[in-house]
Formats: sequence, structure tokens, C-alpha cells
Amino acid sequence: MKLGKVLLTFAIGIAIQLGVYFYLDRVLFAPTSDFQIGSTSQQEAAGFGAEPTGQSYYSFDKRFMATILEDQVNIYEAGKKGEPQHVSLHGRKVSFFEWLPDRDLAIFASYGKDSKTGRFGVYIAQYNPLYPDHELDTPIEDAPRDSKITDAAYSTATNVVYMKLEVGKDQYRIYRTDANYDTRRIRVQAENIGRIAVFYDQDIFFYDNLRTGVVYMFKGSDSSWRTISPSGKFRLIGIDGQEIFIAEMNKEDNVIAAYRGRLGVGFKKIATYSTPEEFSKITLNSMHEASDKADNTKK
Amino acid sequence: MKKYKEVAKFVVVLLLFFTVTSPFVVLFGPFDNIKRTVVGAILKSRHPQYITWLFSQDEIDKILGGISTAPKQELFKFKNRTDSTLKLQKIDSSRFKGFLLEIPDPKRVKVATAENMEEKGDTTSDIAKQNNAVAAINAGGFYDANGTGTGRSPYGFIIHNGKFLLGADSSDSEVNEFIGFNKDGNLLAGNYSKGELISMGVQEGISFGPALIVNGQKMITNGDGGWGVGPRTAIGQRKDGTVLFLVIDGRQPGYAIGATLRDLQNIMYEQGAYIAANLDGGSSSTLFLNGEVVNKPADLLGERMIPTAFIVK
Repeated sequence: MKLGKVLLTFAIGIAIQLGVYFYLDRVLFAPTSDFQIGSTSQQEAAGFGAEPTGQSYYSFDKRFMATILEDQVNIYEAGKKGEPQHVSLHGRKVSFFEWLPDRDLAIFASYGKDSKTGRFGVYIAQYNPLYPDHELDTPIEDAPRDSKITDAAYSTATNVVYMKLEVGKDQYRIYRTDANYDTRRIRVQAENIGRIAVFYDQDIFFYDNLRTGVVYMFKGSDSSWRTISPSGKFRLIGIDGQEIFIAEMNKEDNVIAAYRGRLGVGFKKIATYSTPEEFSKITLNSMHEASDKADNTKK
Repeated sequence: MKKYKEVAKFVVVLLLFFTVTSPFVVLFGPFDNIKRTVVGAILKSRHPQYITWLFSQDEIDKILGGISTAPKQELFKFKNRTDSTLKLQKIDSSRFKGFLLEIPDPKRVKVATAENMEEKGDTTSDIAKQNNAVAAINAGGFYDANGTGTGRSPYGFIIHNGKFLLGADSSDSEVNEFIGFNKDGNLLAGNYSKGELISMGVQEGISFGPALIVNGQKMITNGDGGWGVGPRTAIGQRKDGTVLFLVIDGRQPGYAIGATLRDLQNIMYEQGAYIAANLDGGSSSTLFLNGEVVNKPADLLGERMIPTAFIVK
């Protein structure tokens, strides 16, 4: 009796496996696939609806506006009536949203329990309001429970995306994904990380260690890294082209000076703050002004 | 409760058995398509040695199948159509979705390049807009170390208006894969030397391949073409001169995982292509029409930067 049961179980197991192999062999990985060709019209975008609520983000050409509530993303198109597009979040919450600087495409991060499976997940996703009918995303496979992506830096020329994953108070991890959706954790020299940035046209990533005040670079092509900030306490402000902007901090964690630099060249002071500034007030735009001023003074 | 426990036990044992036996079943079992896909994928990964340790080159070639060497192309004559309408068709399959664009007048198809392709590429739509094009597809390949290339450093030949934009310093005997058009609007696809291209009066073209249909004959008759499943771009031409742009989406589970080279060949063949060739695919695959990208490029950041595109003026 027991032998019969074992044999039956074995036979069912083999049959299931054969079914899986058969599906993979004959359907998914078949050399060719049946196809149908039909006429098409270019897709119509959804329209402008009720008065939006939540935080608003505009696409680079102001054609689209996204409003973000914690668990809801609506996309409105300028000049179009009707219901807005509702981005499907599967019950998760949004932790990061940004329109790309040169195209009507947004990337956003979501986290939380899936409404269907109940499993916790962290995802970085693309949303294309011109073709909203499918999702394009990649999960962070080993994301700890209750972690979330709070920032992303990307390079549209090399198609790499670096993500800052918050795993606890002042505790972050960095993940990287690329054109092959090779999504993996990058080991970095910091736990409490401030701003992150990546070169526009090279897979070179920048971050800082808020505890030690050191700014680092990480080269994605060979996973090498090095310190780039001078001695002292510094924070990364941002990247513009090949130029790197960093801020010198005092003991109270306020900015006392700003520096501009390039890899392989070094940093030069471009601004001194006689009254120390809050770091949140130091932006890339203010660095452009400081750069122009410093360059004009030199002339 | 006892039943659930037994089912759970069964599933665990099944998974264990599956995990232990699958490498052997996949690599040495009777499922040729799975074997070809897995072997192809590992060979293109960072660890191709796992396959080269197990199989000889002859065995690998046999597993992957291949593409017939393209025969000498016979150029056909056609009466040039001046119909300016472009017809867009949608392609649906269980594995992929794509678009096919018909361009009746082949002389409207030109090669356009990124503004400064030595420094970086541009997206297909930017190249199209910079050249006031109605439509465009990505075209030639470029050096793409670790999949993070910026679209610069194209290779082979690039010809526009009869001039070599890339390959001007090459010797006349240098041979490259080539896809382009001669003065009469004939699509050329195959291996050509620089000297041959000059003597044929080639006006536009880039380096990529392989040729999928030559003289009305399919080049892949065994296997999937050896490149596996992915986003693809192809170009073809019917005997009446009509040019076909084909773009297939992929790497997007739930929407499209992609097409094989053989899929491209079959679509082109069914659409009446007498000559057809594969262009750069993957994240680069993009079809631009009337100011917008029609397909859904595979990358998280959307369109990829590329050095060259075939545009329709």
C-alpha cells in the first residue's frame, strides 16, 4: 500500500516536471512563435479629471502632471478631459517619484505588502503615460521588511540606476540596476548616506558618509572605489556634467564652504559662508551661481 | 490538516528533486529549445566558461544551430513608388508584441547619426527630430562594455549620401556585415568589402547583421538563430521596393519577453520581404513615428542612446 502511494507520488511529480519542461521547450523557448498582424492606431492618452490632490510633479515639458498620495499615483495630461490615469501600485506605497529630465517618462519606487499575495516587496518601476497599459519594474530581491527606496540617481546615457534603500533610521543600502536588469546590492563605505549622484555618461556613482564626512566614488564597471573629498568633513551636493560639487561642514553640521572638482584633478573652493548655511539650502542651482562668481573673480 | 502537511511535503520534495535534476535535464536532456536558450544565455553572460568547460565548440555550434552563410545577393528591379503614406501594423504573439512600418518609397530611407557619436549617442527619437524625420528605427551596433555603453564608438561602416562617415580610412578589401541602400533604392544585406560597396554605388548604410532573408530565401532553417529571445529590430524590402521597419518589444514579462531571430525572419517572410536583415536589438530597439515612440523600449529609463538610425524623410 505504502509502496503504491510512493510510486503514485513519484509519477505525479515526474508528470508535473515533464509538463513544466514541455511548456518551456515548446512554448516559451520555441524557436518561433505564432503571430498575428493587425492594424493599429497610435495610443490615446488619458485625460484631465477632478481637481488633483497630493504632491504634484510635472514632466519636463509640462505635458503631464503626477499627483502622489502615499498609496495612489494619478497622472493628468494638460488639455485633456476625462479621468486621470491611475498607476497600479498593488497595495504598495510610493517612496520615490521623479520625471526624467528629457522625456515623458517617470521612475518611481514602491514598497509594502502586495494586496494579492500579502508579500512585502520593494520595487523600482518605470511609468510611461503615453503607454500606460503595462508595468515595467524590477524588485529589490533581498530588501528587508519595511525598507524603502528614498532616492535614485540615474544616467540616461549608460542606463544605470543607483538606488538608496532605507533599512532603518539613518541606515541605508545602495542597489544598482542596468539595461540587463542586473539588480544587485553595491557594497559601500557608509551606512548613513546623504545625497547620491551618478555621472550622466559614465557608470560612476557618488555618495557620502554622513558619520565620517567623507565623499566617495564607485566605478560600476570594475566595482572599484575611492575617497574623493579632501581631508575634513564634507557632504556631496551633486553632479553637473563632469563637475562634482561638495560642501564643507562644521561641527554643527552646517555648510561653511562649497567646492567644485573633477575626477583626477581635485577640488577648488568656490564659496565661503561667513554665516554657516543649512545643508538643505545648498542646491546645484546655488552652486552654478557660486561657480560663475568664482570664475568671474578669477578673470 | 494532515492533507495540507502531505501536500506541502510533496511540494518540497518536488522542488528539491527539480532543483537537483534540472541542470542535467536542461543540459543533457531531450529538450533542445530549453538547452539552446540556457546555453546561449550562459555564453552571453559573464561566466561563459561554465558552458565551454562542458561542451566542445562543435557541440556548442550544434546546440545553438546557426544561420546559413548569405549567398550572393541578386539585386532586383522595381518601379519606384512615390506613395508618401506610411502604414503601421501591430504584431501580436503569445511571446512578444511589436510593430511593422511600411515605407513605399525606399529612397526616403536614410542613415542619420547622433550629433556627436564620438562622444556619445542620441536616442532614436532625438536623431529623428534633429533630422526632421517622420519615422525612424535604431540601426547599427556600438561597443557596449558591460551593457552600459553610451552609444558612442560604433563599428564597421557608416555611409550617408554615398560618403563613408565611418570606415573612410579602411582599405578597400576590409569586409564588414552591412545593411544599406544603393542608388536605386535596393536594400543590401550581407558581408561586403568597402570596395564592393563603392562599386555598387551604395548611398546609405551601417554595419550589423545577420541577413535573415536573401533572394527570397530564409537563412535560418534550423534552431532559433542562436541569439535567444529578446527585443529586436529588423529591416526588410519587398520586391516592389517597399521597405519594412520591424520592431519587437521584449524583456518585459507580462507584456512581451521578446522574439528570436527566426521570429523576425518569419514575420518578414510572411510580409513579403525578399531581402531582410537584423539590426541592433535589446534596449536599443525603438520605432519612432510622427513625433512619438510607438513601441515600449525595454529599459527602465526608456530609450537608449545609439549612434545610428534609419530615418524616413
